[in-house]
Amino acid sequence: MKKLIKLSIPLLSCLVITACGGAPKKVDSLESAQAAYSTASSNEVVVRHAASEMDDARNALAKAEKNWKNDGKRSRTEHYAYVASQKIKIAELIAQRKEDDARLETMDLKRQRVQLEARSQEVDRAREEALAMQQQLEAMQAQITARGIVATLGDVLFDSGEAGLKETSSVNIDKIASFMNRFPERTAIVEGHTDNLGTDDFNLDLSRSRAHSVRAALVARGIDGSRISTQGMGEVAPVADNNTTQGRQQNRRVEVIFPDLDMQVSEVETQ
Amino acid sequence: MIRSNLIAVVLTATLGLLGACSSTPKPKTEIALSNAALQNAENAGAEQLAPLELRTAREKQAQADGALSSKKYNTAKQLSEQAAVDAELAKAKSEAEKSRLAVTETEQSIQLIRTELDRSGSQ
Repeated sequence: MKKLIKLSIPLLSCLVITACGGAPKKVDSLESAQAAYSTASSNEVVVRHAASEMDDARNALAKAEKNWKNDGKRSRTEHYAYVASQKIKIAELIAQRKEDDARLETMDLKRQRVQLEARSQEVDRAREEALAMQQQLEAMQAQITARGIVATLGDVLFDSGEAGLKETSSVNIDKIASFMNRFPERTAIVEGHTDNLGTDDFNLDLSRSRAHSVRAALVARGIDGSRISTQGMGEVAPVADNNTTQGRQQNRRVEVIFPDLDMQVSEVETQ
Repeated sequence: MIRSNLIAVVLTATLGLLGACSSTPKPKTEIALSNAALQNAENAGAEQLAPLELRTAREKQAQADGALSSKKYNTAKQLSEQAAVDAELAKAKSEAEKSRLAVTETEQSIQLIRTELDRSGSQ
């Protein structure tokens, strides 16, 4: 009985082939698996990264070929051809992944380098800014105080009792304007002060007018007026003895204050 | 007597036939392997990254289970072998996809820092 069945298979196959009009002996899936294998095995990257999957594919392909050539078993042939072609796809994907992983490693290095570059650029810029600020502060003869950076414009700016700026003051004003141009995020408070000659009211008005004059001079040099607030202090905040001519001269002054950035809002709001 | 002989002949013939059909043993190993391969594919994120491949694998596995319960061991063996390679493919595709996405992401982040550098450099 077994023999009969075994005999009948090739017989049946012959019948089938004959029925198909003597079609050539071929299995499409086997042919495409063979073609895929030949492409993949000539790809150096695939061979290098997925050798064991390519071996699996080769073995499955051999089984498919054997089943077809020796025994003409179409279903088994197709099965092994299918396994082979899937293994080839797997091998190609593994190769692709390993290539990407390798690229990822070099890219990580590249990213670190670029990040480093960005950081050093930042440091350079910060250093440049600090240097520029230091130079400007020196030029203005400014001082760093609890209220922020204070540049004092001495009384040479004004004649006694007058609020109009003297010609000679322009260099000092230029320095303030240049600082404000260089550091556009900075705002300024312009504060007028007087000596104790004259009435309090007169001095208060005078100190206000002088502050306004300085503000107007800065605006004339292109500084946005919204960055500058003014106030008159009158004679209440002397920096020297009002009993001497020299002391009174020192007290007649305008102070330009650049509050520290985080203090700015509160200082300006209390105006 | 003739009758019992006939029964014996028929029985022998049937047994012989069965023997021929079930020459493949129950494919326990293949089923276990394909189950494991499916599990690996799911763990690799195939549900999102290789849904088509994973579906094919699951369908073959279901067919293999069906063939197993109707004792078509040869069919069950082949189907579970195919389910296993399908699942392996799903896993390989998921992993390749993950790496590809990582490369794209890293490329973009480098590009972003570069643009930032160029912009602040030209300020």
